[in-house]
Amino acid sequence: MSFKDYSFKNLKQYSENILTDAIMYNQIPISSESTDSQKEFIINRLNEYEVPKIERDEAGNIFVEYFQSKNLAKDTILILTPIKYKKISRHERFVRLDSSKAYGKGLIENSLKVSVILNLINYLFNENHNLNYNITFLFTDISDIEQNFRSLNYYLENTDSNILFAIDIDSTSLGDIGSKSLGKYRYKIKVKTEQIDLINICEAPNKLSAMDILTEIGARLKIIGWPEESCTFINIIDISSDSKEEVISDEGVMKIELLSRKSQYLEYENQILNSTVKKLSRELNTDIDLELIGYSPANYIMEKSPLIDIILEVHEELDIKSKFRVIRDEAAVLLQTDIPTVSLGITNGKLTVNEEYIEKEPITKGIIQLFLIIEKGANYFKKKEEDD
Amino acid sequence: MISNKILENTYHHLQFSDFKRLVELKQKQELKISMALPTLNEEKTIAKEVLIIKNELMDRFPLLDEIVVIDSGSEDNTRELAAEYGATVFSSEKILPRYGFYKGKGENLWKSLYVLKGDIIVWIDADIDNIHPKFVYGLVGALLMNPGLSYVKSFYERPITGKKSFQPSGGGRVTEIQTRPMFSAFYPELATVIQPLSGEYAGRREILENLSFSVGYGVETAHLIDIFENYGIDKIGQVDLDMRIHRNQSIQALSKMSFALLKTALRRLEKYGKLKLNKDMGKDHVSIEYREKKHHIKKTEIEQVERPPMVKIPEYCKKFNK
Repeated sequence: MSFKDYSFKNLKQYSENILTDAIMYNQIPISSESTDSQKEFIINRLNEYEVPKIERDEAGNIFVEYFQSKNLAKDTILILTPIKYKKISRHERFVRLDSSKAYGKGLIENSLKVSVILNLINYLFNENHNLNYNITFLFTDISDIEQNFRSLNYYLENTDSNILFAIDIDSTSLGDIGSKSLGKYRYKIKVKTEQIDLINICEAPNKLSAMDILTEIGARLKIIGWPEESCTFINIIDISSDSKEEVISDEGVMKIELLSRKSQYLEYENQILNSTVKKLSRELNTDIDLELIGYSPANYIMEKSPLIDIILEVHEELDIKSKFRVIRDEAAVLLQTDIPTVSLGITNGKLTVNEEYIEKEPITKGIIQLFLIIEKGANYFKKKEEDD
Repeated sequence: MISNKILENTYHHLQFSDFKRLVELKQKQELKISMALPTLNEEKTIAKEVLIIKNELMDRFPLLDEIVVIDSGSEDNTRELAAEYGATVFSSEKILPRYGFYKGKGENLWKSLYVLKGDIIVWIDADIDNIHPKFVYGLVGALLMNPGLSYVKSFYERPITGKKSFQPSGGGRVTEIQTRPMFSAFYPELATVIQPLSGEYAGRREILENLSFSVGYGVETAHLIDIFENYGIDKIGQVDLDMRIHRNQSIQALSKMSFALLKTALRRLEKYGKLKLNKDMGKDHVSIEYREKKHHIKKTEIEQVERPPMVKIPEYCKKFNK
């Protein structure tokens, strides 16, 4: 049966399950700085849903394969979302539900996405829904952001499947199509200088502290007149040094991000940072350690690609207003490997410093959107293979 | 020697987390199970409580036959939200109207016996922040798997909630300062009930309908004493539900609660011949307020009405063929 034939009423139960799982996932006690509790919840839920084979790998990924076609055993559609550790007090994570919205910190960033995938899996196995195509559901572990998406990369390196296209369950806004990635280099810069004793302060007016050097690096990068069309930004995330009594600290650390929409400018930014650091190190005869801690490529899926055409067609069918957005960093890794990938919003909501909520009513439409895209996408790729 | 019977009948909710098995037992024992939530202005938590319990324990696993809210006259959206998420909502005032209406949790529990259909009844407070199906299946599971038990209390860690965080321990202050010392003095067998005042408990109708109910605080203490005196300690069990997080009451509110509990306990002690009161107890709770640089006496009347056992109400007997 096509998903078009499913009424909103038939899917209402699944949207209530999504809300239930999102609330329970959001409220689970987290005992340490890891994603163990979240993974335990996911595994328990999949067991309760009687999913026959739940797989885990060394990189912390959890995945479930819904194989429908023996002839296409290696071809699959990938649906993914991350498992995150984010330090939010449990008190703030408790959800308040009213007739139209669910409020609670973490709902948008973590819980709704996981819950959507859990219930898609539940639906498919429960209803034995035939999509004529294989689907792999993947929960990636991004608890350590400095691991540079190790978890997804590990999965991609080790899977036998041929991923035809991928959908990342991400933003809340129904209609959002995350299609362009913001290229990003993230570095940790460490500087070690001579320690300045405060008792000898009169002898040190021209000496440079570790923090002086770090701010100089930032300033030299900022002073470059980047052209507007480069779509770049140098973002200093954090700058710190040890606080010591009686001395000015000899060690400082700065975390910096080089951002660009365009890969050639991103690489240019990267070269400039590296050369600036080398030059300054030579000029000042100081050790400056530059450590790459994260990278995501600047990439995009063509707005005229078959996957985007299918999404726009589904949005029109369901009266959803489409908006092109930036894709999630991790999903950009898939774009880099030439897998057509988009992030899709499931419902509407709001995420600010003081408020986080999701809207209840659009969830059903969000799920129908997802299934129609999977179904139409599968048909397109199946036909394409037959034609080829 | 103190009986450790209640400790022998102490369980952890995980012992009952096989929902399929519980549903099988319920069907085999031909039982109906009802859950009721007494409410008064609980719009912050009621919707998610009803959603999660209904979704998990009615729709996915048919352990419960109904979820009912008995409301004392909320002025917020409690009733509307509960109904929207699938509970059947009753106004306490409109149940058995011939007998009048008192505002209080015990009143709602007593009246729920008349509207609920279940052979097993589970009562859950409506202010639980960390609601989870364990609050229901833990209690119901103990009754389904232990036919000898008739009344099961919950116990848990109760962290005190601050503005943005929890303090790891605390709560149960009235229990430790008043109820457990009272039980230790007069009913040491009941002193092993870890949280005698917990708001979540389940029981079999055949016992519940024979208990009288204090309309306000005190209903739990009275139940324990009455069950112990009339049915024996073997009927009482308790289940560890790990942690319950809810809004904590002020010390002033707890003082009023203690006043009501003390009066209920003293009445029971007199009823069962443990002591004799030679003077009527005062009906007002007295507290001292400091304002305008002076101390003032503040009196609050705390109603101590006790509802008779439901089996003594003709409408109930007619409805349930008693």
